[in-house]
Amino acid sequence: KIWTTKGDEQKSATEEFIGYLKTLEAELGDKPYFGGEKLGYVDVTMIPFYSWFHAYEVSGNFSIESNCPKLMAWAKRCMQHESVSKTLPDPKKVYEFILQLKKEGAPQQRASMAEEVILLDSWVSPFGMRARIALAEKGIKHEHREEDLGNKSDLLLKMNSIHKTIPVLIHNGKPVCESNNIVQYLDEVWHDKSPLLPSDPYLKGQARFWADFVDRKVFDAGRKVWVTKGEEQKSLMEEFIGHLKTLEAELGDEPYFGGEKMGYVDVTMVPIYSWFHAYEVSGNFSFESHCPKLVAWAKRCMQHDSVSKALPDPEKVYEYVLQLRKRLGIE
Amino acid sequence: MANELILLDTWVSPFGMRVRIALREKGIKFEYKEEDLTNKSDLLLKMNPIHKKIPVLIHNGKPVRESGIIVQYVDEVWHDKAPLLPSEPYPRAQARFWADFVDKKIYDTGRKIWTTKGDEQKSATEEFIGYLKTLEAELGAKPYFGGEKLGYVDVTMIPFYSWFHAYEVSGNFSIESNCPKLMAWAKRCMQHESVSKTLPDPKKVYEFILQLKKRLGIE
Repeated sequence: KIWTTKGDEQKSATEEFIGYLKTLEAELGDKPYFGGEKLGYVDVTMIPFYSWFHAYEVSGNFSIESNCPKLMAWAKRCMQHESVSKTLPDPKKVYEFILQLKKEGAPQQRASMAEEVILLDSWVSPFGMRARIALAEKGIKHEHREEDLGNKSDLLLKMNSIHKTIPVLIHNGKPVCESNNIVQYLDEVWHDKSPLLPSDPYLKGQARFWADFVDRKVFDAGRKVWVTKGEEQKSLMEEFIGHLKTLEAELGDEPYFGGEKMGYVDVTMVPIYSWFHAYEVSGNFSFESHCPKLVAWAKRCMQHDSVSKALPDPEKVYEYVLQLRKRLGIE
Repeated sequence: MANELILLDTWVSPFGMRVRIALREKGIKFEYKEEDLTNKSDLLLKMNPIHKKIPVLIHNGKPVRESGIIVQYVDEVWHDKAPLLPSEPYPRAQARFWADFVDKKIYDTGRKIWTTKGDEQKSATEEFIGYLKTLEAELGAKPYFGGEKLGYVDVTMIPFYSWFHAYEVSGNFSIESNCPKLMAWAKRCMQHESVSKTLPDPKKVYEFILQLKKRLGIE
């Protein structure tokens, strides 16, 4: 029921399932196995479901480990037996199988999708916006899940255990992390729809170089502005504007960094435009007067649905920044 | 048309080493130009005006910059010789993720080990070992990060092996005793000529650091 239903029905199936796992945990008690000191009939009967746990967890957006740690410990103990480890399949393959089954399954199961794409995101994140734009440009159907970064979901912590940050793209159960990595991945898998990176290796290298510049210089300076004040902040703003001017020079007379059409660098850079209003109000200046070409470029990108729908209302971003600075105790 | 390749680099840079290993793995001839970073050449300043850093690969007069980007470029142009990145999109994304992890964590934390003292150094050392252990876990039972052969992540990480001795002496700790699997992986990589010809003598790296500290006025 967890992987064949949605909404309240799925939630209730998930709770029921966890309830049953807890009942089993209680029965296991302190024994290493249900069979006592050795694997027994009940262990053999239950352990195969361990290979399906990942599929249940992704479908139902919950974590079995955090609910039933003892049962997970028991499962790992069983997996040390060759009879078990040689038998159980790769949990990721089980999840892909379920997706296929849903597609071919009975009409009451949900609408078939050849690919299942989930994006873990946060509305205000410029990094998340990159992924949103790329998905929209390529017309990829996906489920968008808003994360509360003050209370990260089990799924996020599991899918990006190294950095625990959004965005995370989950494609058929497999995570791809880091925004530029996600955009490149989408471009490679859905390469025939609105290609973002050039096919020529040299031009690709150039695009990657400028996307890296946007990350390490523009976004970095831009981020630091919000956690400083006074002279330090003023100097960071000047650095930030300096980087924007470098980008203007790189853009030259082309409509987009990608040339005639939006490309990888455009997608990497345009999200910061939703933060321009916040910078302007806080710093009491206008980007238009410093980098008119770049502002014109941003407005050109905003004419694309994929961009205008991905970027949040600049007023809301400004409110968010005010709250952030209050929370950090700056002014 | 002849392929003219010039690499602007310095012998001790782990970033430059990545490019040299990739070129050698693929048997690509190139001209190596040693840069004096205290007196950068006009060519370097012209080819990388934005960052003014090495390595820069100049291919038929056109510059490619940033070590990770250069390695990917070389892998794409000379794709049939010793491919470094997987051909499938998902494993490629995984490889890029781990190379990015090495970039973000290893160099900066390593640098703190030899530029600080006392508690700050101790804490940098612990953080560094933590990252190495994360890499060990990712390596698992595979001979290389790339699987059966050297791959993109191996090429990205192995240069730091020549800096391990410098980190260990500075921070007074042993990487071998903390991360034996990673050391085994490093020695396995060193059996490849592309790697052993590229990595400098660790003792020379340590001497370099001592001189750099003097110049930077540390200690």
